[in-house]
Formats: sequence, structure tokens, C-alpha cells
Amino acid sequence: MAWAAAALLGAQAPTSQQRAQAPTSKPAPVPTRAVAAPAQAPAVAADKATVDKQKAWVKQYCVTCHNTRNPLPANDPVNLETASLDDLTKDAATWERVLRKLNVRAMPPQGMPHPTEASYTDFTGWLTTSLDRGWQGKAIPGRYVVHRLNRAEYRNAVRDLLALDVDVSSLLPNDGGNFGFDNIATALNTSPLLLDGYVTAAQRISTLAIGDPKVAPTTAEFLIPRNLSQNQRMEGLPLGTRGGRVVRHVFPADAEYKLMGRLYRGIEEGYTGIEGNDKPNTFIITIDGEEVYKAELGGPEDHAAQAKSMNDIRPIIDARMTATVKVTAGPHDVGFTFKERPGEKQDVWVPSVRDSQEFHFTGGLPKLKTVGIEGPYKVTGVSATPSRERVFICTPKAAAEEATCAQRILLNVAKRAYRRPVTAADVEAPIAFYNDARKSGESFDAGIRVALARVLVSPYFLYRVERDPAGLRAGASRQVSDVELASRLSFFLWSSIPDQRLMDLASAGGLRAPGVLAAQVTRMLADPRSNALVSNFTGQWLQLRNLESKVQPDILMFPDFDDNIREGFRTETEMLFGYILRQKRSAMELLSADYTFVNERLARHYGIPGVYGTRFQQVKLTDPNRFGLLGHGSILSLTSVATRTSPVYRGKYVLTTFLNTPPPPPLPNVPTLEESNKENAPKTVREQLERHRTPVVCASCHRVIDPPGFALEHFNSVGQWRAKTENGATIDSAGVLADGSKVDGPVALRTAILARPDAFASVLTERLMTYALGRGIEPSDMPVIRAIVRKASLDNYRLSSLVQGIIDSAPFQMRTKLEPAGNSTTVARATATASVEQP
Amino acid sequence: MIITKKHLSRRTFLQSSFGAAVALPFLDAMVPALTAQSQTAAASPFRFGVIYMPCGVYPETWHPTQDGANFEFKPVMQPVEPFRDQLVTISKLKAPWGESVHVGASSAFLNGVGPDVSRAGTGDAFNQLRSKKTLDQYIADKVAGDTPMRSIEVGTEDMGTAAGACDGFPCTMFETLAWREDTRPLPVSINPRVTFERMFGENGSQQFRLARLKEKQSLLDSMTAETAKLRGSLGAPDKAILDEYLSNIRQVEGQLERMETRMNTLTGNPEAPIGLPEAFDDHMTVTYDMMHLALQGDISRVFTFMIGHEPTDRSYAHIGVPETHHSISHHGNDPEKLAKYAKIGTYQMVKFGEFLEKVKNTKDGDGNLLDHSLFYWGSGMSNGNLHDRSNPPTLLVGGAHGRMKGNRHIVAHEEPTANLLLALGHIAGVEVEKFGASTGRLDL
Repeated sequence: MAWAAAALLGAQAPTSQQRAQAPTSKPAPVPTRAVAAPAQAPAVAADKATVDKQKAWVKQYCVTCHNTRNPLPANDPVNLETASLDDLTKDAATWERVLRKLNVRAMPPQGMPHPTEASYTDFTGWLTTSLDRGWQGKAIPGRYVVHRLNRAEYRNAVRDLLALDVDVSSLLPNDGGNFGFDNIATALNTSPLLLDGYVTAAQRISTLAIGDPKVAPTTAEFLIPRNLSQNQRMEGLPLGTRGGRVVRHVFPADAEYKLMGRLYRGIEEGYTGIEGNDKPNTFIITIDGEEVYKAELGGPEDHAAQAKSMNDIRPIIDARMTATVKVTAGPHDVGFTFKERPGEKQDVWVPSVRDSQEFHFTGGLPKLKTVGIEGPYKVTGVSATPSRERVFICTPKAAAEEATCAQRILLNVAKRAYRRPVTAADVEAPIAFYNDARKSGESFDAGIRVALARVLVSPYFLYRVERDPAGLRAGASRQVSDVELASRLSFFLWSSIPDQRLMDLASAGGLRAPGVLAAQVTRMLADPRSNALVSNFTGQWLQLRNLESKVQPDILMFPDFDDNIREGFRTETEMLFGYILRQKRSAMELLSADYTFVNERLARHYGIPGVYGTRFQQVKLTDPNRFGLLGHGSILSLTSVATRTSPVYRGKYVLTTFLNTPPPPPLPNVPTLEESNKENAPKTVREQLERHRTPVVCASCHRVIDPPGFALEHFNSVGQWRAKTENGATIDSAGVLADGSKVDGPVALRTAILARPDAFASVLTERLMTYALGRGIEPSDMPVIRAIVRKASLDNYRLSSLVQGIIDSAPFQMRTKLEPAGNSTTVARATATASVEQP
Repeated sequence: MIITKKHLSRRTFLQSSFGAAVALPFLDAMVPALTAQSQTAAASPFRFGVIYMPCGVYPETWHPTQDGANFEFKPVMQPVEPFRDQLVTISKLKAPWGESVHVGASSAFLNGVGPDVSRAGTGDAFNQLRSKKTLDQYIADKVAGDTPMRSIEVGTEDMGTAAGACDGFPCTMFETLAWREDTRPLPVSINPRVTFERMFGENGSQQFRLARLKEKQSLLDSMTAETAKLRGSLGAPDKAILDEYLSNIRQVEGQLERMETRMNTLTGNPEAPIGLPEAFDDHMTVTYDMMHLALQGDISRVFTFMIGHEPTDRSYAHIGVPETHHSISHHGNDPEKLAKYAKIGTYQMVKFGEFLEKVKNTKDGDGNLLDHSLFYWGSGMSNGNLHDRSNPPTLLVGGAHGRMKGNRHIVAHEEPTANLLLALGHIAGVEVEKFGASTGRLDL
């Protein structure tokens, strides 16, 4: 049976129940929950009169600058003299770019003749509808290629498969990326380095999962960054403690281990004594929250010894901070910390909130530099661990049972690892490895270990594979099976493999039964595994992943800034996104939320009173300047440089991230801000910028880029509100945006952006869709995106509606059989007449 | 007992460890064995190394004013003056990279073309990433022979992939210097321990290492069979991806096979470096040391070392430059910043000099290792303040088997860098007539 491809454009794919009910070749019933179809505008046939009118409009308002002779902007030219309005899909990329600009009224530039609002609406309305219609029947709903797991997905898959959380980032190379994300199928290349890493990782992971009584002792040492202040209780450590760190370590066997803490010494270790050693402190080690070791440090005796010889005291303290403890196999949280000294005021001057400056600790408290775990020694065995429980679903009681049990174990692992039902043929290779090991005298466990390694290097584990059914012709599209859909869902929402529940539903073919898919999405978003979506998506869309590398405030200007604040920034933004997503709140609240998430430290940083403790909590904001992402320290610091704010970076960020109108790149060989002219030095960044807004070549872009940045000038480079700049100059945050709206601060800027909710919802959906599909967005996807936004607009633009809209959309639900050459134009042409066939 | 150092991510307070990599002492015993092996080789092979530094060098602190022989060393280049006799510096080259500001600087460095893609959104979302095969890989084709590793790619920075971090270009373009083929980027390894284990196998006793190596070989062999079977059931675009995957499996297989042969000649256990060094200076040193070891032991004859990616956020606090390299390169002609910019360049020359010194002190065949090597050190731009693509710092050091005469400053008169790449290729015996945007061969 065949479905018209056009009917599916943007619409929800038919449910399996509908499929089951429609064995005859009747046309598809209109899916009940699918509102996400392009609006059916009155027939705007491409009649010549209409097109001519629009051509005249373009000529009047655009072609003056975007013409063949001199297509501006020079560095990323647009030619609207030749772009066809008769055949819109031919130049669809250009027209989509035009639409993005027009939708936020960013063109024509201020100072050039502008159409009336009605004329704007008329043209954009016509262009939108015509583009949507133009793609009907031509779009390729489901272009997918085999999709390699990226580093994050690999780690999560191992965690969910084997109850084993391992950091593979040192072993597997950076995945690279495209379109702003690192999960793009066509950018996930392979290399000898990667393959070598996969095989090594499989060997090590399988060893950790099964445990190994014969493993040789090793040491794992963890460094604690100097910039992390340790003058308060740290997350994951018991109440009544101060500083230190928790590490989750996988212990390979039941045995004795040496647990070690080592202190920062001072003056970059040239000084071998210990700062803050004059007062007594109690060092403790905990395992899974229980104290297992305690040692007294410092005080008059140690201090006197240190005064005598700094070198001699060092090994004495180190020995006292080393414990030998019996630990069982498997993952344990090992904490290294100090007992709090309540009520005792520091007797040293504390100039800043952070506990150390470049070389000295200013808190007068000892601070841990590394923690280490060494072992195993005196191995007694390998007791039950979460991983072993997950793997060993049977234990052979006799030799005769071994083969059957091994088979059962591997079928069970392979089913989860390959995300689909498996047969004996799927585990032939792992079984062969098991047999070889047994034949060469290895234990049952060791046999399972190597077989498990084999599963972990299977292409079915490392790649997401979807197969076209035999007989489907090139260009034809089909709805993916429930099992395939389950993987698409779990990799989108969890960056990991489906869980048992999702797999069971999918294997039974019930995933698309009415209400089931939406219920699953709700369940999956409520599950902590969806933190992967929150952190991977915001990490890349909002660039939070750059907080570590790009944010390096000058230590003298911002003495309080430390890793605790940096970490707090990220937590705040992630929690806001997660809250809006899970509480089904409007995506507009990303910008307008009158609440945020802070702990005591971050609240103090922002000047919010009444927040205590290290735990992040939701607080109501009273200052409207602080509302939403524009008031988040994360974004404000990411768009600053070491010693000052950068209105240019901030402006570019706002235009790109929230308005979808990225400015063209700077021209080569154009200098950035001149800061050399010391006598005539401008007082503010604004004055500096005004200077190079004067030359025409700079001004054409900077008069658009800078104003959103100026509007945020009252936030300093670490996101604190300031009345004046650091050198005492008055701040002028007034400016005119590209659409002519006057803004004079964060509130006005936010209001201006939110005045066009569709534009903001669109850019968010485009980015989410890129992430969800693992591919770049093509102009042919835009009708779908518009349909999703349109539907969500009827539902208060809930973020969850955008996510559900993407999941229900044809690109997420369908798969197109590609042409041999993999050439998109070929497929587009083939699909123009194609129908969608059932598998 | 060797310690595996790990950086605790600032991200989470609950951090997991990757179990524990075993390590036992062994390197000292290996160096003589490796050296003996390379010395007995009938003819010393040609070695080629590339070192890339991002964000350029201010031309006035670098390029000599006098051309030809016996030119004067400007301050930044000063630390490598001891190698003058085997050193050629080139000025007035022109790096041909299109509209991009930073990405072209590194991505064009070894192919003279740059990213063969435009910014995201304007390209075809479905096609594979594409650049051009790079010079080092042409040279590897020619000289790798039976070395265990055809080429080694190393770096010190794991760059983020956030949109905006890559100027709208695919982030892959920023992260790699070497392309095996037009569609096959070779990512850098930033972890010295990983590089070391690729060179010498897993740490542990000889018996353990061999057992792990054998197991790896069986796993790879079995992967090939399964992947080939899967490949047969897929459509053409998927086949192309799996072909690349299979070809990489075969490369690793070949690498392990050649390594196994070597391993049998080694006695003792090499001592692996710790994981990610805490200090950048240590990271630089250990990376250079391993490249030295790779050449010395004939484990590889070609390497590329990407000191940082464009535009790097590396802080050089350890030499008194707490600002990031990128922000200092936008010096705005401020004398203080220019001094710091020069300091970074000079520091890198010191590290390069230390490496050259070790290479020179290594006996190789009838001479020393430097006599038989050619190192290309450079950046993709000159004055970072302007992202200036003309006059980039370009330094060639090594005897190159007598194929390059040292003690010269060549003025290239705006010839494209591709002309230099062509000339380097010819020195290494690569038979191509044109390279990237080359308009001829630079007269070296």
C-alpha cells in the first residue's frame, strides 16, 4: 500500500494500529494527533501576477544591495537578483535565509526604505506558504546513514548495559562534529586511532565488568584543580565536612587498597611545607558515605616540625594521609575530606571568597591536591557487583551447564547491546571467543570476559544500523519499525541505548499505539538519563561546554571567581533548561523565567539574599534584569574576555543563538579593537567600539552586532550587575536593534526577542532537530520545523511540545532508501514521484 | 609502581575512573634495543615531522631582514640558532585560505587548500566531510615501509564542539591537521599514554602485553568478518561508511602485526608516561619525547604534532602569560601584549630546540637522526591581530639526507604555501606535479 509522501510531510506517521487497521489500499486516515502539518493556506497557485508582485517587492527592498554586481555581504554573499521566485526550491537555502532575516525584521537595514508591516507580512506569508508547498512531494523524509556512537553515547551505553560508568575520553579521540553538534552521522568518521581505542576499551571494560582476581596492582590518581575552592562542604560528601572530593572508582577485586590524599603545598610546590598547617585538622576517608579512616594533621607539633624542615614533614604527613582499607569489588564512592571546624573564625585575613590566589591559599585551610587509590593487594576474591549481577543471569552448577549458560548470558547482553531481538547467529562470534578461552584452560568468567569484549567491538554495538527491507526501491520511504524507533528515541532523549521497558514495548510492536509514544517520551524525560539531553544539548547549543576553556577571568579583577562559580553557572543553566523541559513549561521561559537555580555561593555572586548551603535550589527572582538566560552568568561570562566584557561577542551570541541571524564573518585582515593608543584611550568598550563603527566597512555589520551586546553592558564579565565599569566609567546600554526597536538594557532586549516568539521557537527547534536527527537541517526540512512550531504555538510553546513535535515528525519517523551515489539531488528527484511504502 | 594521573573533570563531583591501567617499568631497557635496531638498518630511512602552532607569530619578531646565508636570528627564532647549518627559514609565503578567519590557517597548512566546505547550513547536510589529502600522508605513502605506525598524529588540546566554537565550520576542520584521504581526517591523540600504548602495546609484563596483543588481533579479525557480512546487507551510502571502518580495522591489524614482530626483538618493559600531564610544559616535553622515540626506534617515520587548534584558548601562565594565546594574538599593537605574544613564540622555539637537540644527539646509521630527518615547523598565519595569511612563520630543520641545504633565509615573494608543500613532497620522493593550489615548486 502507498501513502502519499506529501501527506506525511510534517505530519505524524501513521500509528501501527492504524497500519494494522488499513490492510486494504485505502488512503491513510488523517492521523488523529497530528496537527503538525503545514498550514493549509488558500490556494496560492504560482500565478504569474502574484509572483510578479513579489518579484517587485524583492527588487524594491533587497536588490539594491543583494545584486549580481555586488552581492552583499562581501564575506557571505546573497544574490537576490538571480535567486528564482518562480522555482523556490531551486534557491530554497537563499530564501530560507531571507525569511530568517525578514521574520525578525532584520532587513532591510535601518536607514533604508522599509515596507509597511502589512507589506512585510504579505511577503513573508507568501514566501513561507510557497516554500512549504514547493517541497510537497519533493522532500526526502528520512535520510539516515549508519550512525556511529560518539564518545558520550558509548560511555552511556556501557553504563546502561553493564552498570559500569567509565570515562572513555582519554581512550577515544574527540569525535569532531558538524552543524554545531558532535552526534552528526556524516561527521563521525573512523580512524586507526579510534579503532585501536575501541578494541582497547573493550578489553578494559570487560575486565572491569567481570572483575579479575589476578589483576596486578595499579594506582589511579585524581587531580583536583587549584581553582576549585575547598572552603565549604563539597557535593557528595557528608554533612559536617569541608573540602576534598568524592571519586567513584571501580575496584577490580575484593582486596586491600591504599587510599591516599595529598595536599597542595604552596608556591607551586617549590615550597614543600603545608599552608594552613598551624591549626589542627581532621582528615577523613569515606567509602559510600561511611567513614573508614581518620587522621589528625597540623597543630602546634606539626607546625614546629614543618618550621624545622619543610622537606621532612612532607613524607610524614603523606604517610598519615594514607589508609589501607579492605574494599569489595565493584564501584564505590570514595570520599577524601576534612572535618569541619565549626564556629572557629580564621585567624588570617581572607581577601576573597575563593580559597587561593595565584600562588597562596588565602583561606588558611589545608587543601587536597590529589587523591589516589592503589591496589589490589591480598585479593580474596570477586564478590557480587552490579556489573556481575547484570551479566551473570545464570551460574553453571556443573560443567555440563556451562555452554547453555554462556549462550544465555551472551544472548541477553547482545540483545541490549545491539538494541534489537537477537538470534543464536548474533552471538556465534562471541561464543567462539568463549570456547577458545575455555579450551585454553581459562575460567568460565574469563571466557565470558573475552566474549563480552567481542560484543563491545561488534559493528552492531558501535553503529546504529537500520536496514532497508528487500525490494524497496531507491527513493522510497517507509516508517521505521518500532524497534528502530526505540533506538532513535533513546539516543535522542538519553544519548544511550533503550531500556528494557522501551525494548519490550517496541519488540511487541506497541510503541505507536495511541498515547503510548507520548507517554514513553514523558517517562523518558522524567528519567535521570535524560540529563544527557539537557547537558549535551545545552552544552553545544548554548556553548556551555566552552565554560572551562573560554572563561578565564583575570584573577586580579575578579578575585572571587573560581571553579565553584564556573560549575555553578553551568548547573544553573542546565537546571533551568531541564525544569522547563520536564515541567512542560513554555520555551519562552528560557528567556523570561522569573526564577532561577542557585546555591549559596552563586546567590552571593549574584547578590540574591537568603540562600544557604551547597545544594542548588529554585529561587524567585525580584530583579527583572536577572530573568532568563540573558541574566545567566554562564552566557555572560562565555561572551567576555579576561579583563572586560565583549559587546561584540555578546551581540553575535544573541543574534546567532536566539535570533537565528548570525552576522557574516569578519573580513580577513581587519584589525580588532585598537587598545594601543594609551594617551587617547577610550574609557569604555563602548567608546572603543564607537570608533570602529565609524568606517563604513565595519559599521555595516557592527551597527547590527553591537546593540544587543550594549544592552547587556550592566553585567560584568563574570555576570554580576554593575553600576559603572571597572574603571569607573558610566555605562550606556542604549541602542537600536536591527528591527529598529530601541533597547536600553536586558529587559528591553528580552522583550524585543520575545516579541517574535515564532522566531525564537524556530531557532530552538532547528537546533533540537539537528541534534535529534544527527544530521544538518536542509531547506526541505523547514516546512516540518514550521509545522512543529505552529503546533507548539497553540500550546504555549511548551518545550516538551517541541520535543514531541520532532519525535512525531516525518524525518524522525521515516527512513528513505538512498540512491547508490548518496547524492541528495538524485534522491530528491527520485523522491519527487515516490510514494511511501510500508515495510 | 607507575601512577595513572587523571584530571578530575570540573564538571562533576562524582567522577569515575577508567579502572586502572597497569604499568611496570620498562622503557630504559627498550631504548638501546630500539636504537640498535635502527642502527643496523641497511640504509637510514627518511623521517618527516610537522609541528603546527596556532595563532601565528608577529612577523617583525620572527623574519630575518637579511636574505640568503648567514641571516640574523630575530628574538623569537633565536633558540634554534644552534641548528643554523641545517635550517631554512622562509618569509613572504602566502597561505591560501578562503573566507574563514581561523579554520583555514590550520586546515590549509598541509594541503594548501583549506576546508573544502562552506559554513554550516549552506552545504549538503548529507555528504561526508571533505578536505584534501595532506602532505604528511603523501610522504607516509612513500616512506612508511614496514614501520608499525604509518604515521602518528598528536596534540595537546581536546577542543569542544559547541556551535560557535568553530566559527560555523565543521569542528572536525579545526581539530585535525592530517587527512589520510579527502574524506578521512586523522584525529590527534592528546593523551601521551594512549600514544605510547599504540607504539609499544599495553603496559604490563611481556607475557601480558603479548596476550593482550594477540587478543586484539583476534578481535579485529572477527570484527572484519562480521562487518563485511553486515556491509553486504546495506545500501551504498552505508557501505561507503563501513568501507572506511573496515579499512581502518585493516590498518590497525597491520600495525599490530608489525608491532608484534618488533616486540619479539625487545626485552624488558617500557615505562609508560602517565596519562594527561597536569602541566602544559610537561605535556609538550613528553609529546616531543615520544615523537623522538618513534623516529629513533623506527616505529614511525612521519608525525604531525598540533600544538594547539585554531584559535587556541591555551593559557601560558607558566611563562608569565596568563591570558589565552588567542587573546594575546589580538595584541592591538599594545607593546605589553606584543611582548607576551613573542614570549609564547619563543617558548615554543625553546621546546622545538630541545627536541632538535635530542634528535641530533641520536645516532642513526652513518650519522645522526637529524641528518636523516626533515621537520617543518610553522603556523598558518603571521600577525594574529589581523589573521594575516601572508608571511607566516615557516621553518625547515634537518639534513633531509643531504637533500636540503641549510643556513638560508628564502624570500618567497607571495608564492602560495602549496608551492612549499610541493617542494617538501619532492624532497621526500613524492611524485606529484601539483599540490593543492600550487603554482609551481618553491625553489628550496
